[in-house]
Amino acid sequence: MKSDFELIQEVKSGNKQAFNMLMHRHEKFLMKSIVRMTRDLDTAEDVVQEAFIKSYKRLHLFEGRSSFRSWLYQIALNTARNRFRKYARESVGVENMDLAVGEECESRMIALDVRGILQAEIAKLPERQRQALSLRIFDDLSFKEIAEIMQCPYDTAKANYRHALLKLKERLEGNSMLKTWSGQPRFSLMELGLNQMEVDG
Amino acid sequence: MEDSRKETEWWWIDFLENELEPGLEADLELLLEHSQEDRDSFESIRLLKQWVGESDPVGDWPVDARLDRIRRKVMQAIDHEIQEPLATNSLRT
Repeated sequence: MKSDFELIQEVKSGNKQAFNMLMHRHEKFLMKSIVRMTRDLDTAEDVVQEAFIKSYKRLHLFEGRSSFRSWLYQIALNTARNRFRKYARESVGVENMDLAVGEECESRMIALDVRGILQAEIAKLPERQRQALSLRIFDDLSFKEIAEIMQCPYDTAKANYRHALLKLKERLEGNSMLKTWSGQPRFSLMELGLNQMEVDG
Repeated sequence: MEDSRKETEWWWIDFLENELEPGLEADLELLLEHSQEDRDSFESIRLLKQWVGESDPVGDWPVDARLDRIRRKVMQAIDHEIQEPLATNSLRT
């Protein structure tokens, strides 16, 4: 399989299909990241489309000092920020969640609460910490890529991630609804089938 | 005391992320083997990371359905609207 670097060279030599392959490789990551930011599929689609077109036009500026993925992400992030500067980031509150499920078993209800509480607590984190957490856990990026995207030293990216995780831990441990969190049962949200539930409305 | 606890938690995070300095790994493995408190501490961080991952607010959003259309539109733009996309550019990288 050709590397990003090789595909970029091909695009620069005039092979447009190589850019199609680059999109294929990075589109899902990019779309999910932007949807996470905008919480709207149509908006994210527009942003991602625009970001790909911009990246094609600017490909001659790509010097390979960072990974293509983090360079692309930076373009998408700026595109989103420019287009939707007024967009207020929506935090998901527990009160907005569909908890009216009388037949739910207790553990499932607890898990639903946990998910809502976690989302709310993540939304409260300082932006840099939230970004590091999201890029690491949701997008599975390395700290090197996170540092490139956040334009900060490697250790700073890692420190932001650690602070985020420990702040969440502290807040969850202090939450009376989550006493099961540090005790038993230690179930998994996924095992409880929460993936199938429409939590976000 | 608080600083010491925080430092230990940072180590556990690094351990979880495979980011630990090589010399420390064996020490932490020993702690895991012999200390229930440290096992609990590490487990709570591991579990937290897992739960955060499972709580992705858009984890199950149908993004895949949009991807073909995005790619198609971008390729159309490249083919028709961008006349000489990389003209004058060198092959520098």
